Amino acid sequence: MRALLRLWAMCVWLTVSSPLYWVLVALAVWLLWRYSLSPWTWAVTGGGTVALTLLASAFLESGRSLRERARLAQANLAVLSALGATFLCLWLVTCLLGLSLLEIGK
Amino acid sequence: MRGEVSLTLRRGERLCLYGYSGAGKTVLLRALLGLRPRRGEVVWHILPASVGYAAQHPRLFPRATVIQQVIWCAALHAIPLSVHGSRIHELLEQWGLQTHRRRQVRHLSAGEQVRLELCCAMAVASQLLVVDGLLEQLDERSRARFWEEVDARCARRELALLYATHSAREAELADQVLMLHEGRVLALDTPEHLRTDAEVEPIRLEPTSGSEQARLQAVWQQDGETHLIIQRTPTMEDVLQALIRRGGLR
Repeated sequence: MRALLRLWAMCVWLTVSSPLYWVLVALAVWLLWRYSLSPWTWAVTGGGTVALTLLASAFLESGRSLRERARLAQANLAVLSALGATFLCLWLVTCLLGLSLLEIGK
Repeated sequence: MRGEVSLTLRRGERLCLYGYSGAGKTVLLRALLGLRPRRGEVVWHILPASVGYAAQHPRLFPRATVIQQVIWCAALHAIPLSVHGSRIHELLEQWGLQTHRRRQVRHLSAGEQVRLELCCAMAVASQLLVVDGLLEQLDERSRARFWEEVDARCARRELALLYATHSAREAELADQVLMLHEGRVLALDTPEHLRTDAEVEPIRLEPTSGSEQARLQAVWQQDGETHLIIQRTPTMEDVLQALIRRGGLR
């Protein structure tokens, strides 16, 4: 459980420390505000942003690091669980963040 | 890789894959670890999670700090390393990374990244350590510390070491050497047996100084020319070259 929490923390850190994440969030918020998109569109956009950044940070940016290390340690399931938990958590946070910003901007 | 490879590695042993660049050392290592397709069977009598692998090109997260990188590697192997624990600080101290523990990996020099890759592998290797060609990139101090740690753990029969190198000096330190050339296995034996079996010819040199003359063992004449034969223990590279000329051990 402790290891799983560490892996979750790793995935969260990899995503939120990525400039790509913040650029995409800023772009999505601007689009939402500029074209008055519905909160549902924002939810989908936020989910896409988180998923894209998470996959890019975990699998592309560090080469084959995570994939190879997980395969060698036979920790694929743990890594997938951590990725899933990170996605849900950050999706929620991103949605709330975007909607709060819009409320402030109104 | 062409041909077949059959090898056994027991606890406390050090096996070296030795050959020039392009010999197939990395391919063989990665196939053994299941990181690339292979034919044949690898039987592990240890848990895969007890294997620490240091790859030829360090596989690190660029935005992680040094301490995060080690802790995450340990977490993947379900090893409980804590930021406040002594083990992680021992490891970082041993690899000369303690002062850089809060620095991001992308800001480390190439040599420091190599040390960090090895540190991560050592942190998780409870039974087998696999090192792919990183030892020749270490500075003398780190290299000495690495062998000190490996020697101690091998002597206690805690750990086995499987490493690939193109450095004859590193190959000399193995219990067994698997010689490879252009994807083919030339020989597998102890360094002592390889020296004997490869029948390396003595090296003929012209003396340049009196001190060198004093070490001369014999004088050999051919076609009216005098060759001075200096006897020296053949290095692993001499053995490899002899085996390449001969196409492997007879």
